[in-house]
Amino acid sequence: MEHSFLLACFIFLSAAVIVVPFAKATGLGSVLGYLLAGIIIGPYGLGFVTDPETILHFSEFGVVMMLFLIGLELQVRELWSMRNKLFGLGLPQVLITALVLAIIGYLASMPWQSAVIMGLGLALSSTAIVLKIIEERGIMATNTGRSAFSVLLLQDIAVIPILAIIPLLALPELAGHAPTDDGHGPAAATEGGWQVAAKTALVFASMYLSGRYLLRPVMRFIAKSGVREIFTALSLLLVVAAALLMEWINVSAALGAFMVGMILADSEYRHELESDIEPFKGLLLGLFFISVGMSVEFSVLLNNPLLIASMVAGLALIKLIILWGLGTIFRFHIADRMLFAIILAQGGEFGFVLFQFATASGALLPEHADLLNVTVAISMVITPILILIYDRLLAPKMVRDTQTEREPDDISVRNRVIVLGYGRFGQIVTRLITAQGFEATLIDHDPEQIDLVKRFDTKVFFGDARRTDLLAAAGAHEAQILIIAIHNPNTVTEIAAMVKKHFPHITILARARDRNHAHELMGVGVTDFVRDTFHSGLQLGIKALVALGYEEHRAYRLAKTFARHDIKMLHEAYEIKDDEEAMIGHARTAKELLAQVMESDLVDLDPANATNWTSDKNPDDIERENKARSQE
Amino acid sequence: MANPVLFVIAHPDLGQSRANRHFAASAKSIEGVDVLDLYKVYPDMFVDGSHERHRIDGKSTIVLQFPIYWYAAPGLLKEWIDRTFSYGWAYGTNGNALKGKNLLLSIATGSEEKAYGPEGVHHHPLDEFLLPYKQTARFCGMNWLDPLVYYHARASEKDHLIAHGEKLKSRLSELVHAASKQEMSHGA
Repeated sequence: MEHSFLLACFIFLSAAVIVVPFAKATGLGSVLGYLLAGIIIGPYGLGFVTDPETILHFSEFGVVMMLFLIGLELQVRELWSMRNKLFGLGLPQVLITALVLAIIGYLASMPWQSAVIMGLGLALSSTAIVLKIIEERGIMATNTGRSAFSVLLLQDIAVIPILAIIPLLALPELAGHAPTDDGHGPAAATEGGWQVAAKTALVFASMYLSGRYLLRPVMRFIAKSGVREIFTALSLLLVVAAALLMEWINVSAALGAFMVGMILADSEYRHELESDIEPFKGLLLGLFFISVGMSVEFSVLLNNPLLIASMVAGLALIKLIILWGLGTIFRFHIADRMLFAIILAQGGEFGFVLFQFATASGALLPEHADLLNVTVAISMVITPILILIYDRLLAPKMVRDTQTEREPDDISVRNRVIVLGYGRFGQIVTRLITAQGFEATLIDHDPEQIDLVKRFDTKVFFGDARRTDLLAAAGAHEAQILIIAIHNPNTVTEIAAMVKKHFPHITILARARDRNHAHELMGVGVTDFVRDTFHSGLQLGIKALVALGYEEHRAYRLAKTFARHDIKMLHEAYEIKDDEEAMIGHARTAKELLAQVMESDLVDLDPANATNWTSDKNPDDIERENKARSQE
Repeated sequence: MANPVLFVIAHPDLGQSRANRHFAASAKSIEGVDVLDLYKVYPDMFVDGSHERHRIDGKSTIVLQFPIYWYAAPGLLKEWIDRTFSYGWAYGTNGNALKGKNLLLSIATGSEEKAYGPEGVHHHPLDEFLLPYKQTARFCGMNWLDPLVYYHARASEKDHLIAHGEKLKSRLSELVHAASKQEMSHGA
């Protein structure tokens, strides 16, 4: 058992490692690569793996995790700002597509109940494939990306009511039909529809309440313990628990994860959770694509090649037309409209889930389910191919008209400012910036500090900012500036170096501790830094001079001159920082220079010079007078 | 050889001034002109006099581009002159650094030309308000050139703005050209 598990791992990983980079390099994209790898090692390829279903079920957990992450990303505010697209694009897409497909199914002499399920199941696109493509093309911030995301999201939400109505659509002749699926599938719906609904409502309500009130203190307690992997364990535990709970009430585990994600979306631990789950999701999702590739039932396909081909073509065509029409109503640019339609024109993994559940509930004949599953799987395989065609053949022909292109301000863009370290220093910087109307993503790793500022209605995320994945989750790819206001100088340098490497587009503004640390920061390429006590020290220096009898403006100018000189010397010293003797010599000259510099600034406007304005004096007298004054 | 013309622009909200922005861009497009955006370099209005004197050394012409605020240049330009034109450099004993250099003002006004006249709201021609600058030039031994004035900056047509920008550019080119000619004759 152990042995075969390792062997299976070996086959999967090598297939992925060999095929995916190759597919990516040839421009096919990673999704198609995974699917191909699956077909190659699957029962109809080399036959390495003969039981794809177990793996499909296992890897479906990747989709669950993905939905958890989507839920995490989605705050109510963002959801609200997407309402136009959710209900304008998403809802009509699902309803019209389902209706058209159901009518076709009914005309093809399916029972009306099964036809409705087919329509609803096929109307859903593949969240896994589409989001992966959006991510790979980097179009999440564009109109196309956001519109496609809105449609997917509405579909994901639509799964709840669809799952709820499936038991009501059980075929009379299949009533009492025993589940053919014996392991993992949802148990047959032996309870009445309303009982299921009540149970579902109960579970969601308790999930919401515990997410709101129980999880936060638990997460805070674990975060305080400082054991990082336990937080990862907790993140996984949350997803697994949500999935189990959902299975218990016969609802898609993915949806449960999505709900838990949403509940935690405004939690201060969101970015940490995201970066913990992300690598698991990536791998499992890859495995999921592989198993979709493997589970293309070529026997069903070989028995009905024409039927399947026309079903795939029909599905893609109907979806394309409806999406194209919606894109036209929303006035997308033609190239956007085409990409939007192509991206979403496939069946999705929820289709598998729905058909499986429907079969188990006695609402769909197993032979129909087989046909539909193959259709969905093939339509998923052809999506990357259609996109390839779009990129190579269609897109180049459509010259963009920049005049008419105007992105609607729909979803709020991710924050342009990220602040790491929301302590005494970071707070001042942030308050100045946010007072200008900017929103900043704030990250700190001290749970007590987070609790403290929360009382003042400030939302700070918990996380270890040294982690690349955490910064990515916090939106570092889209951010414009990154303020590192952490007090530990080593951490600041480490993060600055890491960000320079992984997110070179960001402008880094760093808090430096002292001269040495400033030099360290210059060493990793940071040009915008401020020594954290420098300016406050100067301010107190000004007050000291005033207390000693200097005029305010004079004291201020002296401090400014001092600062200018000191910063100049800091940069000069950087050039010789490795030579200790030169440094000592430099420090000595710098001190002498300071005295001169401070004097000269005041001499320029010295009132003594006013005598020169009176023209009745001999220039030589003026000269003498000036000398005398400067010796006073 | 260092550029012979220093073009100093003094506008606290350059982003809000179409005319001054256009003229700054015009100046930047001419080879041989250094452009100094005062409010950008000294956001705290703390002018480094000695640095500025070094900047002027070797220049043959200083151009000051500014809007008229309360019958004078914006405060930072006055501060710049106060800190830069120092005793022993610009005037007084051995104060010859500016002697022989040209001073050209390039001004944008909010009001129409007729507002600067006995009948207008400002009662005096613009020239009279420029007297302190003219006398500063004279006191430092500089050549006072006829100012370039762009009236009614906010309301002007785009064509008009571009035409004035071209005028400024040709003035700057002439000054660069004259400087290089002089350099050559000195060299010979």
